[in-house]
Amino acid sequence: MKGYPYREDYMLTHDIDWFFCHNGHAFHAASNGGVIPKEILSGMNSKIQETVYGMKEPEGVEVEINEYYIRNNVLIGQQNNAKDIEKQFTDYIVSFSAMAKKGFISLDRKEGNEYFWVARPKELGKVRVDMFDKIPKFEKMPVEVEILLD
Amino acid sequence: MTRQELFNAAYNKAGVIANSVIRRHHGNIPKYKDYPAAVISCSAKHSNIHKEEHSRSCQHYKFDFRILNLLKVIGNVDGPSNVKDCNNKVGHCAEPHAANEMIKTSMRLTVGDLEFSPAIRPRTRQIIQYCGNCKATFGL
Repeated sequence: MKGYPYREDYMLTHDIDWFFCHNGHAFHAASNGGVIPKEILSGMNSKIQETVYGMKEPEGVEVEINEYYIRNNVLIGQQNNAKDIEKQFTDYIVSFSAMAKKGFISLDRKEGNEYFWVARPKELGKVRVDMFDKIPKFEKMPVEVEILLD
Repeated sequence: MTRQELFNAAYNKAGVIANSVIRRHHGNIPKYKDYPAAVISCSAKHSNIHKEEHSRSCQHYKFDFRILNLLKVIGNVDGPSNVKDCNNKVGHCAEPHAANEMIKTSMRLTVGDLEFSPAIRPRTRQIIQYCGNCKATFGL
């Protein structure tokens, strides 16, 4: 793989889309200003980003949103009227939902190395990510995710 | 400017940045390769001027002496800060960048005149907390 690990100052000031495979599933993770594993090389990740953004959303993929968690843990205290709350919820999920439609289990960073899932295809395993082979594979989950697959 | 107007300015800037990140994959030259972690808008009392900036390195960035003197209190610019529990490097947040662009608009301005919008995460447009460095520097 070509490229270098991300610079620390870049990681801490950016919200980077990065990708990995684990246990036969493809994951998208939003770094949210956190440090990402050194195995994720910037040049390669950039190419994966471009390919993923360019992918068309396959038809008929239903997406499941971790709505309860997001409403009760992430967006709490953000806005104070119902209309704003709905707008905030829609704004929040849009980028994660797009990734799930392309077959990724989409994660957001909470703090440290802890992530939570935001969106995922309803029928995991039935959606095959086009570029599965090019995404770095991790035998051990590189991030901590609470209740990933239930 | 009212706090709501400042918030709207930051919110709109966050949207522009987020769209730019997405559009980069449709043949446009990317201004933003990745989403910045935060965007903020800064204005001054009794002023209609406002400046929006995002978090980024300040390696090749020159701060006005009025901002620089404040930042030096928490550590060397581009280095670790002495603020407890804040891992952000000094001068890397959106706040000092926006404050610097705003304060440069007039030699009469002091740091005490500056007003900030809430910090917004462009990917999700959610309001995020000011970090320890920015709380210590700008009294947020």
